[in-house]
Amino acid sequence: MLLILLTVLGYLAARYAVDWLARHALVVAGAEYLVLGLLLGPRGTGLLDEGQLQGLSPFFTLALGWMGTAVGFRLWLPVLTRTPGVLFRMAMVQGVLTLALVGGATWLLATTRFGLDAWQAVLPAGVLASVAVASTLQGARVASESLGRRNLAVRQLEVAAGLDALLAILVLTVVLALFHRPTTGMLLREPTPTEWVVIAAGIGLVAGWLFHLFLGDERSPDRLFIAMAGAVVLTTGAANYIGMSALFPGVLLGAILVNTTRQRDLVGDLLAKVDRPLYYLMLVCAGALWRRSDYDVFVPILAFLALRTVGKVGGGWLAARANGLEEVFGSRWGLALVGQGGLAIALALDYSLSASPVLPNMVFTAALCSVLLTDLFSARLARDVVAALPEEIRLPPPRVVPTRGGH
Amino acid sequence: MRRVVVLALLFGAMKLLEPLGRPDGAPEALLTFGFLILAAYAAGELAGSVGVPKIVGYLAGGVLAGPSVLGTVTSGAASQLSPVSDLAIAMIAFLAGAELEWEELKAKGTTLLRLTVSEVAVTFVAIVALLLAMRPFVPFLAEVPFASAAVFAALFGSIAVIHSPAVTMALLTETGAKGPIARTTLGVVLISDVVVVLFFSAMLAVAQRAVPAAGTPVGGLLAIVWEIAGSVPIGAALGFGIAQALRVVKGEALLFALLAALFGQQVATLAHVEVLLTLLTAGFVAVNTAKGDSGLVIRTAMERAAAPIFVVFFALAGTKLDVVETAMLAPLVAPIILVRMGAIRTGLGLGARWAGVPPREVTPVWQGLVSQAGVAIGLVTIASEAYPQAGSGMRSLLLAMVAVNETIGPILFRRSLAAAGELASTHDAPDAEAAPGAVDAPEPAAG
Repeated sequence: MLLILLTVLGYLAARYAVDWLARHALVVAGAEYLVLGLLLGPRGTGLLDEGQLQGLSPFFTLALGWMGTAVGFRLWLPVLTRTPGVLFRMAMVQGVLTLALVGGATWLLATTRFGLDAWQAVLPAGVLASVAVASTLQGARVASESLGRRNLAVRQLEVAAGLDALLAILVLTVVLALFHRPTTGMLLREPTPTEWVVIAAGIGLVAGWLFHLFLGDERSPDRLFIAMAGAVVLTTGAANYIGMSALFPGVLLGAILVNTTRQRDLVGDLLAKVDRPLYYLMLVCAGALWRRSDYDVFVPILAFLALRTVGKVGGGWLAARANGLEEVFGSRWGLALVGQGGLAIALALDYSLSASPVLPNMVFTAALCSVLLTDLFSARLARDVVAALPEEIRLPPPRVVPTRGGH
Repeated sequence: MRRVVVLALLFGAMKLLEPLGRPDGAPEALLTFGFLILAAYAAGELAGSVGVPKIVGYLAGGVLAGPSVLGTVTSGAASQLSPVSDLAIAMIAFLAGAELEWEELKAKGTTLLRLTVSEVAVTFVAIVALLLAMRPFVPFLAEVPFASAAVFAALFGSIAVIHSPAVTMALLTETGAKGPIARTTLGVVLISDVVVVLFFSAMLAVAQRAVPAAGTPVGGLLAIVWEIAGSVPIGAALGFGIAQALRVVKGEALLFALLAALFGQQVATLAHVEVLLTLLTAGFVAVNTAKGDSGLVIRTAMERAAAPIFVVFFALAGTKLDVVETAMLAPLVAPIILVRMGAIRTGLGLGARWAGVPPREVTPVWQGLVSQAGVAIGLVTIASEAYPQAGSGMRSLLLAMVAVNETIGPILFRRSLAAAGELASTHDAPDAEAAPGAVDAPEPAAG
């Protein structure tokens, strides 16, 4: 009874504290669900034991797949083709730099501090790098509130967050494929990493195509939700079954849906509506599944947070400079991408649930700390960045490269 | 038809993936669970299009994907998914309790209690008499002395009278019915859940005195009494706590309800009390004691999320139904089911007279009381712990009976609601907006 009381009081206290912070300090809520998960889980009061958590895995798999589908749903071709190419280049440079910086540093740490061999260290380094790249749409939302939906800075932040998500998921998929464990032995030979990526992509594409046919003209939100939940669980379950990332097929499912379905707005609304509760549910699960790392992770996590911020801000600055847009977007626009959001937790959770993760607790703790910490001030940072931007942003005309025989 | 073809293609794709699994037994349950949801959903839509309740389709989808037909969901995967099923039943129980309103209960409580007691008593007597009459053909009665046979028949009868709150809630949500027949059925089903479980405990105590049990239910008889009697105060405390928490928690009502159900389920398990009854009481107390409209908010949020929960619950229930065994026991099950239906109808008629209500206003309710599901299975498990040999026979017979009642019950219930003109006007409107109790205050059930 004491345990139950402790759980209830702990949750309510965390909830009250987060509500207060949200009201007074513009903090994105969510930490209380993590606290609740910690309290309920085997490391807290033990009300949820390992077996029960295992049994509830369809819920967090649904949350993972849902997140992937939501990322894929942003890939609507008519909008993507209308977006100026330079915005993609800016986003890509920023993302790749963050990836390289965090990945390289983690690889060094893993080989020197944790004694992993050079190849083995690629696994946690790759996963942490993918977690580092992920950023939230919070910055774009804040910018949209003060600058309006059509402002180019808003579009830049949307493109950057979308590309970050895609890059993060792709990196996780490739890393998991590289370290894939042998199958049941019923095949003539084991698939190569490339083939694993292709199989994972195949799952997403086939599921997307079949699900598009399955949906037909369905318009009832409830029935759409049931069908979507079934498709997402099936797709992510299939990826999980073959030992690949549950997020990647979800992205492809979402991308096919957004470009083919006749109920695009309805499905989009549904994805957005359920996104938040599923994020919180994932936080509860993440809290319950969290384990203390065997190693001292304070320094690595601190280094991760610092390097990630450097990657985002420095990468953003370099990207703007390299594309001649420093004066348009400012040198600090990468600060608006520091917020992490649910995708980071989804990536870490996906990795921890994989067949043979290396340093999973360190990766998971780093992701949790980063999400909680950046939740505290990501909205404020985004607001500061946006405050410095003009109300109307125009891209400079493209430079004309003179041809040899030209005038 | 298109959906059936897509499902067949998905089934083929899943088979193609089989050799790519890991040797450590990767979580196959998740893969099959997705297929199960889609199959149940498609079957539900198919059923709906021919005027059969969708939950029958969900069940059929579960049976089809389950171990006894296609075997897509193996029994191992089904048992791995039982926490999902448990959470779904906790949500359904919480929602069922939340649908009951204190004012309604105050106004109609005595009438509902009289209807319930009369219906349960008549059904019990009829089933016991029939079982004794068919004694040579009933495996668990044929080879024991008459006194023991009478005791076992009474024990079986005390379980066979139970109804299904889950099926009732699912159908009311699906059809959007909220008239007197719908409300009376819900009231009788919920009250009978308490009455029958108490009655079964008393029956088991008497049985154990008359025929010494070969085994003992885990924790002994006192534990069973506590399991039932303890559910009400614990559920009430939980409900009161939830009502207080609703003052602090604003927004995300559905997630809060889900967590409350999960939490309540854990509390009930820890306290060794009946989960269904605990959550039912918790839902009732939470919604009726919450300040302002927060109780209504949480109830509406749960009603909106009910459809997916029902798909999951009934699809998983379908995977547990054994078609072959049910077919083999059909000659025994058929008369019991028919007599039970007749007895429910007669019992309600007598109950109506006792309560001073015109019988014609109440008798259509019998069709809503045919369904049976999880609680019956839970009780027969307790009985088979006390009497392992006879209990196993009781369990097989009861499972076959539940399989049939779970299928025909919703069809009959829908028929009675349609005859009473209580179905929502549009075919599929009830999914969210017209869920029971969502809009209007309930009408008096009878008289």
